[in-house]
Amino acid sequence: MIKRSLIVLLLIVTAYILYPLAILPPQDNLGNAAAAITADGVTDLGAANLVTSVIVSYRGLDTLGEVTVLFLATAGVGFVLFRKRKSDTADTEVPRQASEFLQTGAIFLWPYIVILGIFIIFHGHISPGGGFQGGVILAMAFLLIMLAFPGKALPEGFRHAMESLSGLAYVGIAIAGLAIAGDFLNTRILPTGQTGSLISAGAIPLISVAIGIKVGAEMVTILAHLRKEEA
Amino acid sequence: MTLVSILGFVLIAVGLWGMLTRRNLIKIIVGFSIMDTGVHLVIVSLGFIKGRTAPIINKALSAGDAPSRAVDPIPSALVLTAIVIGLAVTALLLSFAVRIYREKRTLNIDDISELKW
Amino acid sequence: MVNPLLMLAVALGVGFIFAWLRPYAKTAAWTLLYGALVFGLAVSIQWLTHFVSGGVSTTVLPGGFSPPVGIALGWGMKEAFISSIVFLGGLLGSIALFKTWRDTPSAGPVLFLLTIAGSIGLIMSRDLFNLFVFLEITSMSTAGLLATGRHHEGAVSGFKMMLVTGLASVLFLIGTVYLYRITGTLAIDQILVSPALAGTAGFTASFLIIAAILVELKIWPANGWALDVLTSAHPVIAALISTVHSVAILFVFYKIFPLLPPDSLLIFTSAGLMTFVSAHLAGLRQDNFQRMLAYSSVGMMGLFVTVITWTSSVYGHNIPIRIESIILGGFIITHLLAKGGLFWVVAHFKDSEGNFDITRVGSTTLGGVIITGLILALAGLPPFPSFWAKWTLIREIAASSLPIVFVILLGALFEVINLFRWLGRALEGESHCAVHAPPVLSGIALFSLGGFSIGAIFLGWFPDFNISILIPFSGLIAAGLVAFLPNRIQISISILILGLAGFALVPGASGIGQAYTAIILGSGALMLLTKMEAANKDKWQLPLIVGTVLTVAVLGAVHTALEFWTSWEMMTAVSALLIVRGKNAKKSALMYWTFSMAGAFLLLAGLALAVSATGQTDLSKVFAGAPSLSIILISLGFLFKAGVLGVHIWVPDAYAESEDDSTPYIAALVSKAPIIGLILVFYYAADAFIGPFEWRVLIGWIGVLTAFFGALFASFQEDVKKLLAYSSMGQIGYIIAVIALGSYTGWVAALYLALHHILYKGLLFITIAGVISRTQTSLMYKMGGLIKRMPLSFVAVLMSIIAISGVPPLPGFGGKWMMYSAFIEAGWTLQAGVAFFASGVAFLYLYRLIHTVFLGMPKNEHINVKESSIWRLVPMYIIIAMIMGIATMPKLLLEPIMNLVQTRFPATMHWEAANLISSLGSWNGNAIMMVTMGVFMLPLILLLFRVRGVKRVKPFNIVYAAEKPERPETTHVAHNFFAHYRRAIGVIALPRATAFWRGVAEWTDTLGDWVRQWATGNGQTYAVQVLLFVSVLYFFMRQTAL
Repeated sequence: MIKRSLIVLLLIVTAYILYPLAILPPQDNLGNAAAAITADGVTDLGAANLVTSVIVSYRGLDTLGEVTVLFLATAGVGFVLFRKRKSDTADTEVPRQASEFLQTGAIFLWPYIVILGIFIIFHGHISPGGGFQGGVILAMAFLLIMLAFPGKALPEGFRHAMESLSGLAYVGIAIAGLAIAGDFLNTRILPTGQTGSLISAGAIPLISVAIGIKVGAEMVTILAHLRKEEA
Repeated sequence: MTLVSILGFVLIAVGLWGMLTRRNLIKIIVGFSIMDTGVHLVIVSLGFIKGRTAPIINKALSAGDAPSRAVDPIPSALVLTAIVIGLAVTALLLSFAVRIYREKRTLNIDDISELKW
Repeated sequence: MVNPLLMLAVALGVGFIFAWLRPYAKTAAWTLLYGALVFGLAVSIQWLTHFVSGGVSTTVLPGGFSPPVGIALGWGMKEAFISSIVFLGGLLGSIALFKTWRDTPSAGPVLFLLTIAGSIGLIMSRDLFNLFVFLEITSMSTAGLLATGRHHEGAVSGFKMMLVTGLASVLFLIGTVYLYRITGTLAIDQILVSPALAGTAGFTASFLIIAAILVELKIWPANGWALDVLTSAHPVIAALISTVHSVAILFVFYKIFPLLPPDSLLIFTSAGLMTFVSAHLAGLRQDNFQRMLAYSSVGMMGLFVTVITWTSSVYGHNIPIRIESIILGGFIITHLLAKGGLFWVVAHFKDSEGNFDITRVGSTTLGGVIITGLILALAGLPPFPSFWAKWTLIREIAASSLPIVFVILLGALFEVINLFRWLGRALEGESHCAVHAPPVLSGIALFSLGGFSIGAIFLGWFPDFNISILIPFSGLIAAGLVAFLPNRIQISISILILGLAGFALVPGASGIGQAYTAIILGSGALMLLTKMEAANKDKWQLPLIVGTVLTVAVLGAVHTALEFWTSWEMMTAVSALLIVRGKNAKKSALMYWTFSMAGAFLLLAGLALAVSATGQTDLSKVFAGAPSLSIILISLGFLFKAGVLGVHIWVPDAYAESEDDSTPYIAALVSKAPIIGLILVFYYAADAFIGPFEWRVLIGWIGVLTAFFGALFASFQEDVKKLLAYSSMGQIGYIIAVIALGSYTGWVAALYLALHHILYKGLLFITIAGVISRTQTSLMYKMGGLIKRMPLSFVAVLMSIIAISGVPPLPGFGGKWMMYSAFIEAGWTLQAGVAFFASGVAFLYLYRLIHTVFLGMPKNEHINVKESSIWRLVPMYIIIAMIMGIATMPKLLLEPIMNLVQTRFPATMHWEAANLISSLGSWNGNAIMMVTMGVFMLPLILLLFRVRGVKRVKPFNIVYAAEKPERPETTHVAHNFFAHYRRAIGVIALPRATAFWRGVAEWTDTLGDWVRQWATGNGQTYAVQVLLFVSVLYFFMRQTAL
């Protein structure tokens, strides 16, 4: 009880600390950074979606880090759940089949979800979307299959190859930026093209693709790890 | 102070309460997730400017108008990163919970305090 | 130059493909992994040399956009320095882990590499949100690595860590986005100059960010999680977290703390201090070495926060680069390499079940040397970088805030006690432990530390330090390197080393110091002859003896305050190691170490205060201008080391438990170090002792009381070495008392007494060591009647007893005579009375010494003992010859002493032929010798002729009727020899000081226990503690900021 009252008290104090922040009025003008980006974003990078410009180019290092975090989560989950003994009874057990409803639905939906994912990845620089969003959608397509057909999943080797090579591609593009344009992660190593068209915005779409594949593969791997544990 | 940010702060409080008072590891993780979501809402609410549109240059928003008619693109970008990171943290926390359950057959946080002093 | 971001890119790229590549191309994968670390190290070092040679810092802009739209990364000397040691630590750690990694999943090395990459990001990034991302990278990867820990503990502590750091990162994130909202940018450098930062919202947002970093920095009381993490993790992983990761976060703190207004710095300083002290206090109770290291790491973080915020509050933004590099650089490199090295030691010696037994480390000599070096490096002893850091830090702080100095030194005292306790355990292993291979990686770390330090000296970072002060250190190493040679060659080389050191040191010294150095070296060499007797059992002993002699000697050759402090610390460390090598000396050595260190820290506080107050570096000028408080602190430090009444409890055990062959050096030589110190202080700063507060008189009283009680305690000892130890305490008491007189006669007496003490105490210990080695006991009631078996030793003891007791004709008489004259001249008649009484008491124990050991009936088991070997007898009789010579012609010795003292005080004594004339009378040593010889020789000759008539008396044990003694030996006549005196004056002889200090120790222990119970082990409680910490901190901050 004492502990609980202490926690209540702490929450009140926390609220009190946060209060000066919470009462700040909504802003009516863009700050320095945002003003500069909205004004020069298109001429700088040629991407129609300024959010994607920020994610991939202006603050590209954040995104490289973010991909790393996701990669770490995958590696960490695998490491934490790693068992030395291979003779776990759970592995040999045949998992319960999913309902036919789910199985049929999954087979039917799977191609559409994959196509949607690919579309969102490729159009990240001209419309809402991008590597992360598309990658997650891709992963969901495979999750659906995993749920519908337990035991079936993307082959581990393929996933690993995707994870590694897409990550390497991302780093490679970043280093290419250093080699060609003089700055690490510089996306203006390819022509910016016509803003709004699919082939535009320099290396941004390439990075989006790398991110999309990487996120998709990581998510599937995390799910596969946790799924294996549950079985 | 907008509705979204109020909701965000409420979620932070709810999540924090869950994190600090629940005994079950999974519930604590859920609490953490709720708190994280609250923070994301707060971030998004900060970039929003009333009456403006998404910072995507298309027929509805010309490049010249962007500074005066688009909302702030940066918080949207930050929140994306924050969401992914939150997801990663949650995944790792869950895997720890799974491992703890596997080895100790308990999910009660009071039962896993043997490392002390 | 290579773009520094490439280090990051290469590490990330290798991290991404390692796991995939490894099954196909094992060698390539490992090559890439280690290649990434080597590449990072090479790039960092290349830049570091560039910056050191004058290159300017640069900003790296990934993507080519500068703030506010882009992210800016800083790259300058500090960044390059920290990243160099991060990569070095990472490389050594990954080598240490290679065996474990070979048969575990690839995630281990990948997470390890990415932790390092993340740390590099934390070091370089100057963008708040980018910092958040890198914080998450490091905390995710370290949490993942925890799974390598023991059983489920790894997962448990990983969960706790994620919970707490998750909470902290939420705080960080909220603060970050609101700072963006307020200032319109995420770049730290732009936020700092933004006018919007000043408001309440700006303050709150900054506060949240900094509070989150403080939690990550493991600031007390929000650090329970970190202790659990560091305890349960695989030691190499713990090293990674506590060094690489923590230092990176520390650098983040360094970058962001200016966000809060400067008024709040004091709160950070206090929080850091509390962390430092509480961690080391709690560490005192640890019986798990790895958890002790965890506490030590946490304490270090606290010290870092203190140092960073304190220097900033003094210097603002213009902290002199040299101060920053010496203090922060020194501590950081020590933390990374010494603490890392100790963690690796744990990893190296763990058995297959994960248990660590520290005695295994010392099972080989090299292992023992490595752990000794690492622990001394961590404890801040010369010549390691933390020593210079400590000196500079304390000197800087003493200039403005003495209380902080004391708090830091208190924490540091806890730490060194703690470390030495473990060192004692480690060195025990040599005798009884199966041999384990020495930890080579830790050795490399130690070597780099030493190299760094020596490099800094040669770079001229310490203009007030002459490299010759490190001669004892090289002498110690040289003597250690020849330890494999036959015994006698070794000793000859050792004596040669002492001689060479003499040539190097003596000409540079001057005045009293010069005489002191020469005498210490000479007597040390003389005493070393006794070691020729038998082969050495302990490889450590001879080098340590050489080191002890040299460190004591070099005190006379110093010129600056820093040099003095360096030699003092070296002397303390080496002599403590010499003591700890005794068979059962662990506890006594710890006590010696504790009191010596307490004294050394008082000395440090005083010296630092004096140096900063005077702005001088030369010892003479420092002392001359020193404020009274610093003089009091300095002389208190010397009194601690001298073992005066009240703090004497270390003396008997330290002397008794050290090896018999080591004791003479400690008793005769090390005990002179505080004497020369006191003389130097009084020499230059006599005026500071006279003032409204008669500090001088107080020291005088302490001296005579020490003399009295030393003599009294000595009378009640059963152990001959303890008897001699208390006797030394008493003699030192006299010397201190006459030094405190601050008069010509007093000082002549002091120097004369000190010199004699070296001679006769050395003689006594050498002789008694011979007796002990023959009889195999040091208890006096087990000896007896040895006069027949060891007549030459008997004569030696007899001579030294006469010399001590101040009976004519031997030199003690002259010393006593001058001492009483000096007391009376100064009007200290009461003190003279006590001193006189003390001499009477001294007679009791001296009588007992000769009686119970040499007279009476020999014991059956000693029927066949032989006289001491020739190697012992030769130095013994050389010393006797010197004593006799001085007794016959005291002028030879006294004249130079008087000339020396004359440089300080006007002479009040003079010579008329062989007569020494003082205001109270005269003394003619020559004549006294003749007369006494005449008076004694006649009866002796008579006796020799009548020897046939001697009737042998049979000794009887004294047993009372119907008494049935529990321990038969207690009935022996020589047991509790002065029981009657004890009954009469027993009240004042009770071990009150012992009881007092034991009480202090128990209280400290209890307090430490209480502090450590704060870490309950419950992850949720830790989260609550974090929130509590943030709340409390907020209210403190508000007080100052708004």
